[in-house]
Amino acid sequence: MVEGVFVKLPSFPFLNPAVSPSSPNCRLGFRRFSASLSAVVKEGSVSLGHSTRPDFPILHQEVNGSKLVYLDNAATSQKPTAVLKALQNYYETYNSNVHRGIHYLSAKATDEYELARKKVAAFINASDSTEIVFTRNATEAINLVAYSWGLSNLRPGSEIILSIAEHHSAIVPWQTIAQKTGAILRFVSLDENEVPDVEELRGMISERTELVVVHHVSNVLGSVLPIEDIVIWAHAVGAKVLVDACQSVPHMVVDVQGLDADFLVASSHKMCGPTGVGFLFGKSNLLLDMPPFLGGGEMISDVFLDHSTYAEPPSRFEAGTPAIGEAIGLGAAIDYLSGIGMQKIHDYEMELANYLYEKLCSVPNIRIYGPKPSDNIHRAALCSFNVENIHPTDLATFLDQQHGVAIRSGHHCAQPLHRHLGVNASARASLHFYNTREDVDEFIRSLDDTVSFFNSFK
Amino acid sequence: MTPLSTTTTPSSLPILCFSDKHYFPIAENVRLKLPTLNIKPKFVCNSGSRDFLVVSSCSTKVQTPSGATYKQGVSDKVKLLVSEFRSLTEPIDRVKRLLYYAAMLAPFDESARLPENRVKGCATQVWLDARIDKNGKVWFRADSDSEISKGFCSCLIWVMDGADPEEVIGVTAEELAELNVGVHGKVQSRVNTWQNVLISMRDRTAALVAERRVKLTHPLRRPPFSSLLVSSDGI
Repeated sequence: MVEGVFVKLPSFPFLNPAVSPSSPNCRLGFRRFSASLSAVVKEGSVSLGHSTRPDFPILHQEVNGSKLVYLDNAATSQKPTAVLKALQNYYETYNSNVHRGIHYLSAKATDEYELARKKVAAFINASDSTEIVFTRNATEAINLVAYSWGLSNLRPGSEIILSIAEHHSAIVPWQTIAQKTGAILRFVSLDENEVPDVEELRGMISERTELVVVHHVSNVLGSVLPIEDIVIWAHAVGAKVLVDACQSVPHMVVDVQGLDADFLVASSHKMCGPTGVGFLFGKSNLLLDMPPFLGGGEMISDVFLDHSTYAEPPSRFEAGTPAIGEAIGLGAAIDYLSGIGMQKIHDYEMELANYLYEKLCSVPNIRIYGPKPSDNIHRAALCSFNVENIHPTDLATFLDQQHGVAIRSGHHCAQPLHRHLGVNASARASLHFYNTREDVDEFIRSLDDTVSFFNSFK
Repeated sequence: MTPLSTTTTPSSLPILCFSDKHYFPIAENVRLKLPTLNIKPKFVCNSGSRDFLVVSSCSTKVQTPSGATYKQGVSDKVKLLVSEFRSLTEPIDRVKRLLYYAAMLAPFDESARLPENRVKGCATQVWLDARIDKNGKVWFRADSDSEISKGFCSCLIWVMDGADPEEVIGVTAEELAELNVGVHGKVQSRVNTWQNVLISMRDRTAALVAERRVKLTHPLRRPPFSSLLVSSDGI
């Protein structure tokens, strides 16, 4: 594994002071430091993908005899050395249970854990870190809102508006809660651009609407929804908005105050952080009124045999020992991403998104789902597609076995969307800032070869 | 379908399994007509669907060799299949071999493309049709929207078509681990099609056997058929 020094690009080209000059890391880091300096010098000629790749050891390997080309970032992202080191450092030097301990290690672990919470809050511009609840992942965060807020606020006839393009985690919990409370789920379909129909959504919002659940960026269509507008329409009728930001937080600037979202969820593992941790953002006044979701230690104030009283948020919603190291790892991931700058990441990925779409269009008999990029329509750097007469799983298998290209095939946890599109499954290539144009070129080359291969059997 | 040319099949080892001449002739002679729901068939096996026919010598054109055993039992065929795939050291050659076998899969009767015939847990769509004949042998048909999955089905059917139920139920996933193509190692993941198909074949076989046993031991529970009545006194 490549040990590396985290070098912030491009305005803070200093070596990590934690690394001693005598360690071998320093020499490696210095090489990278000079590489990044030359990146500063030749700014614009070294892409973000090329300059960040050295930070991701996992990308430098061969699979099945070919160089790995990892294009499954919407499923999970890779982790930079800085995050790996943060995790290792936690377990090696100060692992301890948080919040109630008196001793030094416990105090340090608590400080770092709460610092990670502050980093998350700052990253999405929450007004206070008490608005961030650490969960296992975005799915658990949505379930938290469903069982805690949903059960106490939804009545028979209350309406929850969703789109047919939602991830299963944003649909299934609400189906359960709707059954329990008598609430009704209403689904917005796609418009002619293959994007959730925002006008239809606006029309559906009424006095009966209690909640709107929408994705920010679709993991299949690559489309981006106008969350600010949706929030304005929802708030006008007193409805709340839950934003699934799993595919947006890792790729662009997300400002919960700017969006005025009531709830927002994301997963660490999609934003260069470890698996096992995610978070829910909830406005303070909402969280204060919500009953606990899971019961146990940490979330209580006093426990008697016949009743208990509960802690204030966010602790109220963090039962049991949390994923301490992982939350700290998420904090390190946020540091890394902030060091690059989310706007810079977004701009680079936009370029890559357009390049991917354009090149994919050149594959014969291909059908790419979602909107065509234009001046007003921006796509995320992912494309779900099908090639006529070839099953996406066959494509993905051949791409992996013959070319070392990793894409995903299946329904991407969006069965209703696929049913609407009239297919059982699709293939999906999804990029992140450490991918390069060369990755896209290699993918297209391999895809062309794969398609010819399967067509030769017909 | 033309077989792979040597340029696309780098392996110079012969394709052994499907040269078994018992596979195709017998497969072609199995004409199991599924009745539509409005027709009351004479022989009905209720193994999960009303549309199966219990194959008998009176009602169909089946040429099952009565009392004949195959040249190779299931375990022999498993060994042959495994050794063939093991000889293909490059994973891509296994993919290509599977595609070759996919082309040899017998056509699937559209009327068997029923929800209860879907193999659960596959990333692709796989349909499996299973039935038991009067000699107690099990027969399978399968189809998939993915060529690689069809290849898996083709291999598994070659191994188990016309076999004794006990042999089918006895095949373990571990024995066929060499067939892992596109799923590295012994991954128990949702996309492991061939394992799901194998499990489905075993489960359906067990169900068919149980149904048959019920029919054979409790003949009075079923309306007596004029031409064939199985009872404790004999047929």
